[in-house]
Amino acid sequence: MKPAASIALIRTLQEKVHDMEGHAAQTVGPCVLASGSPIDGLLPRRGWRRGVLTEWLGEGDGAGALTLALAQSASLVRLTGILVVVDRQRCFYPPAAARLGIDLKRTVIVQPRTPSEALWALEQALRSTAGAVTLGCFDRLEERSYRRLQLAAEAGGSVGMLVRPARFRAEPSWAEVRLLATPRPAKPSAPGRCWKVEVLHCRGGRNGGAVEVELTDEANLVRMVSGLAHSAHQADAASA
Amino acid sequence: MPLAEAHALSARGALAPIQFQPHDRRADREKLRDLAQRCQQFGPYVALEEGDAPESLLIDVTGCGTYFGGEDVLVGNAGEELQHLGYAARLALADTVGAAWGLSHFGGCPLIVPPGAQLAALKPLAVEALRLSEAVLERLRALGLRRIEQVLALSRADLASRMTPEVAHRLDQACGTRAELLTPEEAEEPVEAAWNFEPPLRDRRLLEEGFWRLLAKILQRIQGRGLGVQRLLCLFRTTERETVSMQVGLLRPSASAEHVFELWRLQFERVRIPSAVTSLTVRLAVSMPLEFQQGELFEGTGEVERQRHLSTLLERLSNRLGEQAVVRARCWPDAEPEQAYRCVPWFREHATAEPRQPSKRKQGPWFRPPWLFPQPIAIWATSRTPHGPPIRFRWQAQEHEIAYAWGPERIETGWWREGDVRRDYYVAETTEAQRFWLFRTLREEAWYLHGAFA
Repeated sequence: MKPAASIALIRTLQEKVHDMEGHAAQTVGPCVLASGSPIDGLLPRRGWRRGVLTEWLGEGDGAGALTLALAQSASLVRLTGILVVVDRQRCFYPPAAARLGIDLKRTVIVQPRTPSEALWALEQALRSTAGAVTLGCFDRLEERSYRRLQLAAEAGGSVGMLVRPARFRAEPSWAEVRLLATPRPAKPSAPGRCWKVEVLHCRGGRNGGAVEVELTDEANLVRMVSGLAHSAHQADAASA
Repeated sequence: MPLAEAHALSARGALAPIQFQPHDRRADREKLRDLAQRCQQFGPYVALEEGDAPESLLIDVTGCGTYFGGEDVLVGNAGEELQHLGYAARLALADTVGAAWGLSHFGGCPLIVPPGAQLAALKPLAVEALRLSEAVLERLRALGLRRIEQVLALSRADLASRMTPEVAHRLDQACGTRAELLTPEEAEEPVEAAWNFEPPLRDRRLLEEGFWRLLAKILQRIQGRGLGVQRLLCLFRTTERETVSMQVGLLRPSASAEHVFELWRLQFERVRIPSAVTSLTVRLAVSMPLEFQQGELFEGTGEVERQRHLSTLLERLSNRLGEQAVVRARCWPDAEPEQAYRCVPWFREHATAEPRQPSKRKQGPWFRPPWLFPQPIAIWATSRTPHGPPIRFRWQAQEHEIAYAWGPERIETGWWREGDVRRDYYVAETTEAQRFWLFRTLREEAWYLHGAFA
């Protein structure tokens, strides 16, 4: 069998196994959303599946995992129509989100008072069949609560994003994909920002894929760093 | 501030965008009449004060105090109701309309004057508390009469010879020797249902059942009129004579008992009722025609079904967490970072004006952090030169070496607010490639951490 044909066959089989595992989103319409960013290539179906959770991990308070999640959400909201941000700490800064391309007219900011309220709000947003992108920053998540969130996302068909500190990487996760965003040192002349985005865990996909992305000044878009050695596509080709 | 001055400041960009609207006396009167309708729960006769531009409500609460557990509770409930509606009301309760008006306008509030004591309460007040015309007030001031007690010290003969009959008339009304007529606003028949429990109930499941039945009664009453519930008031009266109130709000009118009950229960689960409930009252506060279609909640989200799902989500979140906790943000053209946006609850969204859009300055996403601390955090930081960029800072017992710092971005603004802002901001990247937003105050030269590029 030719290599290209074998790659296609393996992908088809992967998708079939994935569906048989019961991970198919129970929503009407396209189940996989392509944001157009290189991070799409790291995901199981090269896009953001409705009805699943994605976890973003960042090492330290200024690592930029939230920045990346917001930039990614900005692209997805253009497809889904609405973003729900659960902000218990009341630190979410809308002017910065707007600069990352978030349309504030389509953004619902929920400011619960307690962690349990925050979990409840996130679950409601995920369970809603409005088809929103739902984003929340959480520290500790009990396994049972995490599982509930995942079931809510499955039932509602939302795209769920959780932003958490990287110190929780050893804890079990119910997210379909767990991404680690590691910032790269900047050049003093250009304050743009680069990250290495690495797949720590991927259900129904391949762990260990990585891509380097940058947030560009011109269009606030996440794009691949030019001249990159370890992009996902290259990794795919290498593995094939 | 005079209108011309506000215009000038607004044109120079010194103030946040202002919308200028002509004063509409008719709209004021209509709003006051609406309030009069709502205040009929406190007394059988509610009237607007006389005159072309009324600004006070007069409520006859004779004998009503006992139904509320005392006149102080009645006044407290009225204050809470008005506050809930967004008004800062000044309340006074006295034997006469004149005394209550004067004390509410010029006395400490809320004030309850014991029966027969209105004269003593009025004495130290300014003569303006007598509801006199401006011409008469000027004459009193010219005579050096500034307080009511000074006017009362004059004999009636002196008063009649020196002043118009208006002064004696108002004094008599305030003291209660001359009757004053109230012209009550015609009451709309409230749509409400109540249930008195005997014996009083503690079981929350039974209270839920009670609410369900009362809700069904209310919906039955409005069924034939094509109306739906937009806002529902629920009052629990307890054996301790306390009143616990709940408001259920909907973005779109609904006649579905299940939907309204679900929203009510989301709130009820969090409401603490301190003692057994003696009665439960459910009142339809706002109703709207069912065919009323609100504009799209989100521009461009398309289909009706999705809009319905969105409004259901917003209703659930707002009723459970409180309307203030579910907001939409708008950028605001203000240089001070904390003032650069406004949050508006979704339930009040349509009452707010669209601000002027911020200027399209070319700034990338790294000029403002997505994570801004509600209060800047005082930190220790050092710089190589005085007024120079930071090279090191300490936060949460951890020292951060700064590899690069972009700035300063000087922000000096807010002189018209309490505590103006004079800061030099830096975007600082640590040697571990983490980014933070720091500033140094120009006055105290103190360093603060304001946000993280999380």
